[in-house]
Amino acid sequence: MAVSARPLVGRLIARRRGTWPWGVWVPSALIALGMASPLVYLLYQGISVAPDVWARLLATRVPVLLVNTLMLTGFVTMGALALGLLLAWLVERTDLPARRIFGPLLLTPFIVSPLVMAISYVGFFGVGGLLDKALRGLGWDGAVPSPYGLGGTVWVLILSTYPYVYVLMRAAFRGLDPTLLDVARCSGAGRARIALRVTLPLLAPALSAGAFLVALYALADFEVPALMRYPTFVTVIFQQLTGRYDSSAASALGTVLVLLMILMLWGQRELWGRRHFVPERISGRPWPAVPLRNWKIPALALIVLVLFAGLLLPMGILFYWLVESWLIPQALAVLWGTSGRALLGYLLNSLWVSAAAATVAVALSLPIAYGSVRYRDRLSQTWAWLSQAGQALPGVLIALGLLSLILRFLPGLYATVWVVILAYLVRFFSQALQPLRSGLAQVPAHLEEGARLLGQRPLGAFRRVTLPLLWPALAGGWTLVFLSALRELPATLLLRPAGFDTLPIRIWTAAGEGFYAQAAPAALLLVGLSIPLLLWLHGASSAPGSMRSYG
Amino acid sequence: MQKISRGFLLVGVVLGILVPLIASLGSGGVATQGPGELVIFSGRREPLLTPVLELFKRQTGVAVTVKFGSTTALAQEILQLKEAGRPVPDVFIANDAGTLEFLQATREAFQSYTSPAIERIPERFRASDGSWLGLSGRSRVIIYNRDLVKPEELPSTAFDLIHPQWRGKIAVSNASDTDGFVPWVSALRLILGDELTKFFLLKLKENQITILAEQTDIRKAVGRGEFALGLINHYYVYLQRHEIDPAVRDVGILYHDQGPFQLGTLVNATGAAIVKGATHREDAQRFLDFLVSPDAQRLFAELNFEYPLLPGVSIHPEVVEDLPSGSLEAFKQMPVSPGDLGQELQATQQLLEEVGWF
Repeated sequence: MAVSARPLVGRLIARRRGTWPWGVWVPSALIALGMASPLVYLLYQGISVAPDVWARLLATRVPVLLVNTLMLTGFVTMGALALGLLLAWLVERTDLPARRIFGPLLLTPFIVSPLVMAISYVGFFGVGGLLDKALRGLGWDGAVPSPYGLGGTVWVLILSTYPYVYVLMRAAFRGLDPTLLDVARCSGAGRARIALRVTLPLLAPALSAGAFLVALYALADFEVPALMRYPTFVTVIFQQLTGRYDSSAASALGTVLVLLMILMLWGQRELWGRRHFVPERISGRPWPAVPLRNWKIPALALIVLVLFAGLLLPMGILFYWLVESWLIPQALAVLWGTSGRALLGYLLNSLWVSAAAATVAVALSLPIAYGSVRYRDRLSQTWAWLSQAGQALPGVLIALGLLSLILRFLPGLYATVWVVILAYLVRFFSQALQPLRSGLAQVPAHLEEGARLLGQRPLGAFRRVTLPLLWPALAGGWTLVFLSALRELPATLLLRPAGFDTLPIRIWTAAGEGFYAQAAPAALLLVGLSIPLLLWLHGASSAPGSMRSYG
Repeated sequence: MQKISRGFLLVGVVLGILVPLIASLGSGGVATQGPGELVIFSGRREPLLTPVLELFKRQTGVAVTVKFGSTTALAQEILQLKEAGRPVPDVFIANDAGTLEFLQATREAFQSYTSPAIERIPERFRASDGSWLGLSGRSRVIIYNRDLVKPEELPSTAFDLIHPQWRGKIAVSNASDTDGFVPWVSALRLILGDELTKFFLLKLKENQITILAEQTDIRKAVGRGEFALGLINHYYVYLQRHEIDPAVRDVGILYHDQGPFQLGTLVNATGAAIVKGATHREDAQRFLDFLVSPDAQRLFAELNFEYPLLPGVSIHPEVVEDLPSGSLEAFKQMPVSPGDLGQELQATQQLLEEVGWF
């Protein structure tokens, strides 16, 4: 899609004013600076932490946490990459039976949010949990594998993040041109050589994008390591924030974590960001399917195992708890007698806060997307880049940064829902911006120019031509932000006003007190809400080139 | 193009007005306090405090608004509300009197109040400057799973827990547990000094002690047999014995360090204080008087198995049964007061950080 570097509309303005498109530029700058302010303030606080606190932390906590966090991130990334790549290959490139059914099914672990998956694993494998009770009932006296620690955390995080890799890899496999294979073969390359020299380099951008997404996720995740008793930077910062009066240690640890995340963002860009293998054209011929032969059974077994571990087991446990809570009268009283109506309240809280955040995020991303796509100058790229700073901030740190900012500059907002919405906005802004940018890039500027030449005013041209074409991207971005906000736990936990509970908060509270059965209805509601949204996103992503930006 | 920008600005302005409006509708809490209504922040649990508040309302007719949460989080919120220049609550109820002492010593967060009713509480459970008041007492004990440990195998002192026979079998709470583990470590530091305390903690870690987030986690984990022992406050043992599921009720209580040349048991207290800048000062004072009245003290004893601090109110019979020598005065206690412990809060948390207690 050719987008001229400076389309007519821009040139017209520039010529008339001989200057910047202020109308886009000023809002963009304000929004970008606002979005980046928690990050900047956090780093500023981290730098101003007293040297002796730094020295103490660097000598005691930081090494242990660094090892813990990097081990977790490394294992999860490798596991999710391997699993996502293997499953995508099986579905796209082999003669696996029923691969049309498995194709979309393998995305389903995505609907079980990591929080829900973690509590179901803890409730199932924990001592005195469902498995333990069942085995004891059968007279078996051995130990159940413990869900706690690195192993359990890695397992749950792999199951909840491999779909990212899987989606990207499937698209990448489909984008491969089979004629490349022919050429390689004609040149006398063997199968291993083709895989190594042709296929792998072509898949590398998608692989690195997947690895990067998963690694950022693992680095920032709070609920899984917290529930599975595995200390990482994020869980310890949370502990510091809730258990101490002095947030300097939290700021210092947060600074280290942010630097780690920025290092990763930079590394990904330097290593892979600039490499693009764009096939000139894809021949319509399908890629020849690799016959699995004797490997069919193991391949099917793997897929069944993944679906069982990632979907059936957690959902089964939730339904079991739900039924249990109906059958045991005391639990029933606690659950429905006092909180049946309350549950509706949590649901409504979740819905409206997420919807508000999504709406504001989409609205605010419009000028930045417009500026960075239509006027490709350095400044608007900078605004686009700055506005996504929240990506490098785990929820815990967003809360810390925002809280300090608000106490200092906007005390009136302290302990209001507004702060929670702001946190979602900063954290998930890039999820609204990126689909919008790729959507806008696909709307030719010539259409707007045509409308202008036919006498439309700029706003009219935008509203009547561009906006209708942008709806899918706007809706996609809105849904992504909504879904992420719906599942957000740590920032909500730290910033919410008194009595403002969302679904994840209820799940967390109930799980914290060991009342898993009480967590079930809220968890099922959360899963149920995710299904139509993800289905919609999946449907929308069948359109070429769109899912990449949704990752 | 100016039109487009105007459009964006318009959207921004509309959202900027609408969203805070909606937000302010959604936000409740302290902002909604009416006139003549006592506002309380409570670090004590809702099921425990609600009956006490009901009784207060019935006796005095004063309306009460409460916010529940963890003691530290609420304390932070009070400090932050002050910083933001927003209205503060009138009364703060903490599950650890030492925290109140700490807040008074470092931030002067409270105002002094004393009365004949309050002076009946033993002196070691009150602030020397009258800024806070102890409400109920609790002991640091060991909870054990009776299926896993026989009473004769139990250690007599907490220092036995570093022996290999307990490797991987003990649960404790983390450095945020300011009403349980942290004051006990403060007491150890005051009696033994930093070096020895640090050595002991490191030995415990070497013995693969498991650090959980809260004492409720400990009692539940010991109840279901995940750990043989747990370091805990005494009333959690009774809460566990009253669980719905009979399979997890079989836990025992051990008052450790009662022998000759041993350190004794730490008896700590919960507390309440009137926040500086409170708008309903008289009602707050009435409320504090009420909290040390026999009626309220009896509720603490009955509902949460704690020791009433007002002389003459009896301890729950189930608790008395397990008390060494059958009464609060007769068993061996560590010679420290909640006030002493509060002064040490920050230093103890720093020590725990150095040890890597998370």
